[in-house]
Amino acid sequence: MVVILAFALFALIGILASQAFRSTGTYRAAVPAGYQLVSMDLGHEARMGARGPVLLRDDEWGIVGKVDLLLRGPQGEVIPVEYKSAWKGYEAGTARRSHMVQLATAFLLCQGDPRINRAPVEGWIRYVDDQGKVVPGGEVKVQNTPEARAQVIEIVQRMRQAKRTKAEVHRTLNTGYNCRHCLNHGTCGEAKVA
Amino acid sequence: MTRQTTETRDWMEELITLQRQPQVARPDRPDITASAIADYAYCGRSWWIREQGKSPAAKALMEAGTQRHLSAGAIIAQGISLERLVTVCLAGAAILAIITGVLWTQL
Repeated sequence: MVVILAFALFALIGILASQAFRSTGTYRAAVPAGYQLVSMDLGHEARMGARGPVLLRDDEWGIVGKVDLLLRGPQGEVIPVEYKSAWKGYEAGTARRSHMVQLATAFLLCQGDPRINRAPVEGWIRYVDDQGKVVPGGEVKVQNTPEARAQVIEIVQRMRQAKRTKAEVHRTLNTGYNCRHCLNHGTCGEAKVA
Repeated sequence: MTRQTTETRDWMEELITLQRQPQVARPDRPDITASAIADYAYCGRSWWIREQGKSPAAKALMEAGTQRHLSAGAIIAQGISLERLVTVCLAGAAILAIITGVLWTQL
């Protein structure tokens, strides 16, 4: 009798938890059906266990980084996902260049790290609000292209040169709009704020 | 197709089992982080200011970004916890069903 009751209790909790899991639409939005979560670097390490953050390394270029979310797609493909704060007046489907470069760096890391050793076909940038929810039209899918890889490598080479020569680096933004929103415009000395 | 599936399982398993292995940087070449590359892509001078340690605003930016990351992560962590609970309950129910079956046959 006790065993039957315990079985019923387990089954009941299991069914309720299963329904609660299915109703967590926000979770399914983060990890779509058919995709598997490989690692996450969005805090909560204690709850994530083996699916916690992974430091990826590309030895060829000396680049390291943790991808916010690493997913395994239905065909076994690797999909890096980066989470970014949506700015005021965010336009659906748009992504900042610097965020796309960071995702391109994740592509390079996936390809260069011997544990993955494969180039993603695409990656996703998710723009989230204060509650951590993706804003409408805030999931942007970015294709992995040779141009994106070349852009990352060019930046890395410039950074290494700047570190090596200890030379002062000058402003590369071309519009006052971006300078106004840059958090360093107060100390920059070159910022163009209209 | 089967071979591809095996290969994909391998990369995932390898990443999960080896993820705590220490990563070693080359002594002659300091590592560059993905976030620093993104900083430079935004503006080379902005990255340089941070490198010089002259960016008081950077800390505030990091904290605001971290909070949003934590909120997004909480949603996923909750889903993972529920998924684990479902697995444990179903396994427990299956074991108890077997025990019930065995006891039933002995009656």
